[in-house]
Amino acid sequence: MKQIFHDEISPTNDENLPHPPSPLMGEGEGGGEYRLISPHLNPPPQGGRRFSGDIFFVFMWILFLPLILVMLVFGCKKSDAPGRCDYDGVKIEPIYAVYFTLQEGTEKKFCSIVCASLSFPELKSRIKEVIVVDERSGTKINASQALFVESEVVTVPHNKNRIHVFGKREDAEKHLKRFNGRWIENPFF
Amino acid sequence: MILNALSITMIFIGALSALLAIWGGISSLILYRKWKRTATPEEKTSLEDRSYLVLLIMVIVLLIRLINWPLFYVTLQSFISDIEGAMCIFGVTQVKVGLTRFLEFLKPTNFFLIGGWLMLHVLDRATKTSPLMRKKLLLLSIISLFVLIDSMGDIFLMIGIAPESLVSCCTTVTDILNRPTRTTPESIFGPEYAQSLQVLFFITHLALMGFIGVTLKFRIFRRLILGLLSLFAVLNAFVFLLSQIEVFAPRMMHLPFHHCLYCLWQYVPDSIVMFLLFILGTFSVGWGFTTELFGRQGEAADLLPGYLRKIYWFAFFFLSAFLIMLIIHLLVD
Repeated sequence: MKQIFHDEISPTNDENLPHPPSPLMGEGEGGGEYRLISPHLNPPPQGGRRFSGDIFFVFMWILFLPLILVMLVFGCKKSDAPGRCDYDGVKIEPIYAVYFTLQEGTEKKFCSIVCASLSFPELKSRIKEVIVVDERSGTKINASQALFVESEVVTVPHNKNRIHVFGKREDAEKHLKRFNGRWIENPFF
Repeated sequence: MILNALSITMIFIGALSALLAIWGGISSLILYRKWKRTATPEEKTSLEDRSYLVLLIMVIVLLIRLINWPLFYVTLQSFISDIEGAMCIFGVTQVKVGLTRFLEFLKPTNFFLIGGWLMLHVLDRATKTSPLMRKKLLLLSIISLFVLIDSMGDIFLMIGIAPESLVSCCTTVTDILNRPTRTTPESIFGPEYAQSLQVLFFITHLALMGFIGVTLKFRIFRRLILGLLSLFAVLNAFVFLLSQIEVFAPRMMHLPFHHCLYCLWQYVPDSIVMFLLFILGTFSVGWGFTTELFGRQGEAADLLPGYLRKIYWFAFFFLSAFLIMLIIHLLVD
């Protein structure tokens, strides 16, 4: 049994009367019994129009290209903010910062001893000098002259850095006793 | 619980979709069982009316659940400042690790199932006799269960994340030397694995696009071919994930030793669009297969090739747009 929509049968349009094959019936069908069904149940398919993939593809590109370009313009901007850690991109607290001066004269900066020591093996051959910050006074000192203490106190929470840097032995010992710490060797040796 | 506009929205959407999923799931199961048994035309009409109401409401619920996936990450992003030690979404996921990880797997699964079901629904709507109605109702009752679990998970997570929680973030996990994303390709390609992984990704991605192009050109919409294409898309997605973590993300972030994808979204926001394009492209390949699998029935079978062509054109567009964005990024960076 074939189905046609009553919208298609009108007294003024004889062409829509069931002359087989109807455009809604699909190819290869013709003749037979017809049944009227409500067009509100499911709307009739777009049988007359053929989908052109090429046009669709071009249309999609025209639609999306400006959006993609705008995204790229903003996304490709170099995002090397001055106070950003060169390991994980986090904002650096100057009191816990570590600086690597490289042979070619450039500098790498890190938010903590953890980030600096994770980068150290990769950069070791290019490093000229390692500068750390005395967390008591805030002065920059060479890592070879600094004292390192690991204690219960976390300085940078996101990587749970517990290593503290001091320029003077009495400051380091005071921290060590107060926060259950222990001496550790220079991680940049 | 961290209260902000997004967490309240998540709880509201979760509660609403959980209730409607229970109602919709049970209703669609009952309708599925009754669909063939109905004898009188009156009963049939009543059943049709009820099924269209159920479908209408559930389509809205499912569309909301589609949006819920990105909303989930936007909400987690909004919690970063309230979680001590979190510098990106990774830190927030560490507060309730098990539940968050479960939801992170469930959400893409739901996205795929819902998308596939909607494709089938659109195909069925284009027919005059709804030959796919029974299948649609059965699948809807299954998907409702997934939606219910997802919605409940959202509510529990939003309530469970306590402010001022202390966590460690991505640096301590994604950047360690024995991370699986490094050791796996390193065991195959050796120490210079990054370069090989990059080349492999471009080969598999271009091959996938090529296979889709051939399928479209010659209109080969056979189940076996589409199934193989879907499997290849899954393989490509796996290579994509590895190459993003190990090669592309560090380059795009200008942080050569950092491998966190959440940080990538944070520092390079247009990478979210890139990921979206890739996901839609890959899922479209799968949706093409599921539409062929469930849609070849009665009147729908005649319309199927046209719909499959549309779906695969979408896949081709999304995958090519993603590739162009990635190449431009790599060239500019």
